[in-house]
Amino acid sequence: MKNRVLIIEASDIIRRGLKGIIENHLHYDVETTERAGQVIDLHCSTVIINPGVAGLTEERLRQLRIDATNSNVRLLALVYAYFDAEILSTFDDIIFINDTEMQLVSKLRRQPAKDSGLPDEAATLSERELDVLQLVAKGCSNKEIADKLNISIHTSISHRKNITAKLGIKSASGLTIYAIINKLVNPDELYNSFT
Amino acid sequence: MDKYISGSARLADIIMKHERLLLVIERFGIRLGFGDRSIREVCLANGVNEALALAVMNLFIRQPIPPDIHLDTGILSGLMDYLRNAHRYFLEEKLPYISELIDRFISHTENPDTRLLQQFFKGYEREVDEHMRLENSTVFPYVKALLYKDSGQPHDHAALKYSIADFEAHHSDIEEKLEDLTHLLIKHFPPTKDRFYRNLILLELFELQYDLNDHGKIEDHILTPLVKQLEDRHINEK
Repeated sequence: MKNRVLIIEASDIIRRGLKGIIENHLHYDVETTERAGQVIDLHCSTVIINPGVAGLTEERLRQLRIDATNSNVRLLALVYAYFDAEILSTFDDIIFINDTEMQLVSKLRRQPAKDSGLPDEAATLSERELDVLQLVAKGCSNKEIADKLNISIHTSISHRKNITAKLGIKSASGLTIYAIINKLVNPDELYNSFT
Repeated sequence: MDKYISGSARLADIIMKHERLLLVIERFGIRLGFGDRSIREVCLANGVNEALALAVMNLFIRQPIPPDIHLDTGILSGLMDYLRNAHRYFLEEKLPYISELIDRFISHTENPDTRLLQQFFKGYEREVDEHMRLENSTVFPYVKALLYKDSGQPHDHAALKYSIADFEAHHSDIEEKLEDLTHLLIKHFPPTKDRFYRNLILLELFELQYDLNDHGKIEDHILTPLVKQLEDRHINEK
């Protein structure tokens, strides 16, 4: 099933910005709405909702939490104002308005149990390791990775080793498959990745 | 713990206990249907060097080579036949079979990403093919020439331009990608509609990994030291 994301946020600029990033990086379907309507459509994998959005009372949030859990939907808060810690603890994760694209993408990539049945290993890779993994998938050598990320070859090799230790995959072609199935890279961008 | 296998044991009993030895006797050219005969008798009937057969069998069941067995360079020719047969088995039977299972897995799942596995496996097949072909075309002719030279027969001088040290230096690991594949299938691919072939592929991959590991040990622990002995005898003439 293709991942669908529902964004509930009052600001048009923020809705569009989020939608753009998610579509670009993850190729998920994204729908947006400006207020929490009477019925929130949970036919999606993730709901990103600003806890301050119109129509969302504490009571409705509690109900939304229960419905989301039952439908295996991840509930993410989109936060750029102060909210009570208790409210924030209702959510599976929190997206901050000053998150980098990669932070946002990695928060979204953690799948609900229904979808994969397995904890997503990519979630345990650090941001830097994700960068390195993407470049490995694109066929870059350790030297090229070092140059592109502005790190030493030694560091690039050590990232690669850590990735292998976490995923149990040593070969570049195996890592490429991992990157494709986890949508870290777009297969169309790859060429000659299998030796 | 398993006791080591000796020549007086009944081959059928040994196979019942260690079913992976089926692969070994096949590679020695021993056909099933040998009744209650001992390993010694079956080896004699099939022209297989008993010491060599026992060395390989014990290595397969992770036992030391029995103390009464003396391996000398006389077994090398039989050992190379065995290794060639094993190469043929890997390249012409086992790998194509797994590739076929992967095709069936792909056609029984609805996940197009599974096709990446076949691409990956084809790459792996090419790697193994290259590795084993090199042994067939370089290492074995070299050992054969050394053996001929050792017994004073005419031999291929060109083939002698090699050294078992080159082999040791380049004897690469061909199990790495197999492990990658098992990790991908167990951990990283999301659940698939087909489970039967996915499991079957994994069982075959584990078996293959085991088999390749033992195969490498035979080359490193039996072939290489014996060829070194042979080289040492002719060291001054080279």
